[in-house]
Amino acid sequence: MFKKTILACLVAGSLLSGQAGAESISGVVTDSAGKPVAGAKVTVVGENQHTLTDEAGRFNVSQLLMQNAELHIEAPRYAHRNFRFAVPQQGLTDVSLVLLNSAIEVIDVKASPFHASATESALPVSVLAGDALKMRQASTLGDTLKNEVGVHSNFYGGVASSPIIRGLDGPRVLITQNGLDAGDASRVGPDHSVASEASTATQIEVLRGPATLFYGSGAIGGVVNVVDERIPTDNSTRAEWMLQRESVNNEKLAAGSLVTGVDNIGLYVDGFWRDSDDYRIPGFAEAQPDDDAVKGRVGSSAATAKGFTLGGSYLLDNGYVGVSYGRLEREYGIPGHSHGGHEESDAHTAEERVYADLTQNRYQLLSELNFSSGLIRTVNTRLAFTDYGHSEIEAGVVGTTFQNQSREARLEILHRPYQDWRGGLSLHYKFSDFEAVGEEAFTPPSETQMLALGWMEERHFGPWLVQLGARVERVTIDAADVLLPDIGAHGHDGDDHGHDHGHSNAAEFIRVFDVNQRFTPYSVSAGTVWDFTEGYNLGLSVSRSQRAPAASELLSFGAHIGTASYEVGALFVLDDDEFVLNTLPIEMEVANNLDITLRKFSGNTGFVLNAFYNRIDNYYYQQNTGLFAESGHDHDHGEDDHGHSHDAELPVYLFTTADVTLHGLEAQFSWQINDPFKLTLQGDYIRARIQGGGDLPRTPPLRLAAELAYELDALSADLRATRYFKQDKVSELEQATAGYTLLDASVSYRFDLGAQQLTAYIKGQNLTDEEARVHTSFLKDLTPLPGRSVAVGIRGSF
Amino acid sequence: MLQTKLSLAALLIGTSLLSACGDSTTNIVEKDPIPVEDDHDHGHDDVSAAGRLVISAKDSNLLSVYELSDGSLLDSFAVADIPSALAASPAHRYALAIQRTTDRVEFIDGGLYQEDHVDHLHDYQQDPELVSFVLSNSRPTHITASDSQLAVFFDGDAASSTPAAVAVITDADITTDSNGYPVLNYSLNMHGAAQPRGDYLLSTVRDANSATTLPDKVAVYEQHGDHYHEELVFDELCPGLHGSAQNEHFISFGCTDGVLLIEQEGTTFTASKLANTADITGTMRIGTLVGDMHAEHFVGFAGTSVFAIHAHDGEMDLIDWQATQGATLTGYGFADKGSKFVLLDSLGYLTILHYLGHEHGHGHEGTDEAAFEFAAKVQLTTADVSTMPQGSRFELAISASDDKVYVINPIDQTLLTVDTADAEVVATKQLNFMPHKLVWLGIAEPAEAHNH
Repeated sequence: MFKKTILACLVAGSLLSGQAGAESISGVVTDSAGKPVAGAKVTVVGENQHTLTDEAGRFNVSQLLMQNAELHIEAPRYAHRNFRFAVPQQGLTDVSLVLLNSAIEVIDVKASPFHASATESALPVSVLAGDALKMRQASTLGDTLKNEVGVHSNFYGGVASSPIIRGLDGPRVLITQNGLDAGDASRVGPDHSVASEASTATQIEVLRGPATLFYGSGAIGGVVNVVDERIPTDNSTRAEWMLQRESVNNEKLAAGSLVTGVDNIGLYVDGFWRDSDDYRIPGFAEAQPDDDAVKGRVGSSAATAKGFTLGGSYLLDNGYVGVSYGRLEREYGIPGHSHGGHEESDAHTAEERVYADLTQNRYQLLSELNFSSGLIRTVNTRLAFTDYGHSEIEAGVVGTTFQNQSREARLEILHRPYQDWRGGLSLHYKFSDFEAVGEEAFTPPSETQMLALGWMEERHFGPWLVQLGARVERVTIDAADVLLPDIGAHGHDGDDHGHDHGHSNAAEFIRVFDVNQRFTPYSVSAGTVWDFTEGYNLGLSVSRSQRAPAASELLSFGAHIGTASYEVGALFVLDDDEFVLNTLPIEMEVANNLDITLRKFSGNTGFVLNAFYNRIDNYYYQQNTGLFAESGHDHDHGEDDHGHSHDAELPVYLFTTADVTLHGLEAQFSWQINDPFKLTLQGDYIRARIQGGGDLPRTPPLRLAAELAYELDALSADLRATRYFKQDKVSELEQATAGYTLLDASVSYRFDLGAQQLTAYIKGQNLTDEEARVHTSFLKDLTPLPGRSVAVGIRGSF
Repeated sequence: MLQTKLSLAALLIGTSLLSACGDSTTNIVEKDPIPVEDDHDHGHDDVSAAGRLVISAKDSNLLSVYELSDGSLLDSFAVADIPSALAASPAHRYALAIQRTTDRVEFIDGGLYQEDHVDHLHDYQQDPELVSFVLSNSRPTHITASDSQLAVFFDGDAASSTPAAVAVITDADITTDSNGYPVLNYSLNMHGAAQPRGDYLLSTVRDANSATTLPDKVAVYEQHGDHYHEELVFDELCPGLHGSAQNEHFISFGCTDGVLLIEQEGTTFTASKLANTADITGTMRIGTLVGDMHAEHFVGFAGTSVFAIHAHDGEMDLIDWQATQGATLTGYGFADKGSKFVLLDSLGYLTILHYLGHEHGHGHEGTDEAAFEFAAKVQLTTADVSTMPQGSRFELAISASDDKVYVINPIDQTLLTVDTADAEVVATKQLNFMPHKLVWLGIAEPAEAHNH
């Protein structure tokens, strides 16, 4: 019924359109020196209308629907600006709009309902778009974003890496595609790849810090939003394509996208194909290699992926409505997936290959409708249905299959400015039917439902922009068959090795529970951006967010090879080496976050300094119990003693809660030295502590990077050095990692071929062939970063 | 306006959400557990190895089931009438509550049993219960068992001209509440005995003109679906037949003049008579026989004289159990997995004999050791046995899984656990009722910790 209402709403919206007004604005866009800015994009806020300035910086927008028009001007290397006009009946002519140049990349953030740019938000946001995105795109989302400030990759052998934002990942970082949940299994296990593709994306946005206001409790740590044009908002014909070959893993990539259309119809198609072999490394894969280990490659790290997307939209004067279908197929090895006990001999390696086979079908409906009169200014609608499945295959046999069917609906109703307050309500519904079947089905089947109501407002008070928001949601997790087996967990202390542990305390029955969990988390936030002097602002944001623990954190009970551990959810507690039902109430995570951002965004130098303090109470994390349990994986192999060998056993980790404090600094400094040269320095540091002693595991180390970029006419080049320092703030039983320096460089040459603009490029990564172990990786002891790699490619657009 | 309605709906939803802001509730319902069916090396250790006892109360229809590993009372059940005797099903899973005078046998599931999982046996432990399977026929009296079958002899009743019958059932029939088990129907009543041998049943035949209810012949019957056909009546007479037993190759019946021995070789049955020896004098006769599948000897009882009967060799030797003057036997049986034989007497002693088997009882190579050798005599009580309540006596139950023998002492209403290896009372449990009969239930051979 919800969907029906939205549909009715859309129909009503389309009927209301077409009340054409005669008002128009024309003028010129210049920089602070009075030089015209060509190619600046002038957008009428709240209407589906935009235009580009000509060589002389001139523009003209007409048929404005509203008398109080707002223009949003954006241009490369300039700070975005909004201008408001009261448009008389006869229109406005010869207005002069001045943009301030900026050394900081300024890109609009689609994830925010206000369409603000990164410099206008109280919360820190970074955006990777355009050529920078094309140069950094990698087969995984984590590796694509790993050079963004405050973002690290959890590097899962290059096949399933997902982004870590300020030390948080998993169920705390939400991955979205065009603002809708990626709908995969990547939040459940680090070996599960994110079902999204960077090579066809137009921009990737990272919201650092709690973004629960817009996205719900899954975004307590941040959001990564992958944006593409699958539902086109205009139908001017344009296309992009790229071909690339990379040396370190022989990866071949072909990707392209096309937007076109006729009349009121916009059409979109994209496709990509990638294929790679196991990647090369300078030394051994294992930190402590066996005698018979082979140097030079990381086994089971090859991947093949392909996908396509089709989309179409109906363009209205006051907005659009469109639908899309995307299909993604990916087959990737799972490195480090050695199932203890039977170290296969070389002859068996081929048949012992462990890989995952992933398929996702994604349907989306997106719409934006603007109204010239009435209480409601804009209605944004987003619907998604995602059918995801991946199977983990070992020796040709399907071991475990993960299925996630999700449905999502989001409706944003923005009201007409009232007393200068802009804002609106958002209604959000999400349903996920998650199931894992097989020997590594460590999480029982569950259904998670979320219904939320959010409210956001912002208002300018002179130089102050105040942003307020609140959201309340209801999250229910229903699992009809939560299993509590007796796993015969036991310690390995003393000299009782080789005895018959596991034989004496096994139960006759697996207890079964029907679990219904309901949470009502809320989030409130207040922020301000203070333009204290021209070209600078200071952002301050305080928020309190709650997060309902995910089904996997509550209900898990089983061997998870992806993390090489036996995982037990918080629904259970340990009682004398035996797991029993937790009788204490299940608490929600509560994050209290303080963020301060100082920006300088005009002139030849610019910087963004950010400090944050995030105190999370009832933080769910996996505590090592010191016990071991059988992986349940390799019986019946005939070895006479492997029931006793610890290789077949996994350490037992129990989800418990503790109060933790995360605080850190992020800094980015850009200096346009002269016309071609630009220097960028950046660094981030985070400290993640458990109150009462101890550190959280896999905390990103201190990182500093310097990049010198050259851009003049047809040639651009950059040289980047990144220093990752050692990390010895480790959790119990975690290894410290050494520091390392990565040197990357690239050269691009642009030329035209007919109507096409082509760019040929060569880029090198890890040029010094450094052996690097990523501290934030679950596989730091098994898979170092790839060695020296050179990629050549060409991309084009028209 | 639609949008206004929508925002209104949103507000309503919001209000309902806000009412429980920051809240979390958990609702957990435990469902039926899943039995572990895994193929590896654990899962049996929680199943009671000691087994369970079913004890009936005197002059009562109540039966109590005790867990022997901790002595706890698991449950009590009321059967229709006062049981005259208790017996165990072949696999020791069920207890039979034989209600002779009211023509009924009821069954209690002791809860301990094994399932054959093809490559291994699997032990189960459940709560005891009174099952719905019931046998109803006239005067159920002697219960005899092979390894897998149970023959219930219904004597019938002359007064009501009810003929005798034999029902042959298995544990599976009880479990599935089947009525497809075979029944042998006689045309006469008799105080008879039957021994099941797979598809065959050896059962007694009474002459219609006989003045006694005791039969004097034995016949072989073959099962045809739910009934039996008479195959053969042995010519060998067995006057005053009472008492029967079987072991691997022989079936024995007690006669006034000796023991009728029937040897089975495949489908061929051959009868012979082992005549009473000089040790049997006067009115003495062997009226009770005890056998064990794995023992070559039968044990025959003629009053307090106990004989070791070797059917193949045709030998009958008196066993010296060092009987005390004035003692009568109230219980007996093979114990400790057939390696011992125990005798419980009216003076409150348990005599333990080692069963040494054939090679010793044979007298060759100059040795003349007995098949049953006196081992010990355990005094079970210091109470004055003359204070034994009227109608009560010491009774025993023998564990099939270990070396324990359980004895009830009605004088002080206790249950004693006797370790036959150490020949001592290892536990005494006070009962809060007057015990009458008892039977052991459990798993005789717990499944191995079958390793991969």
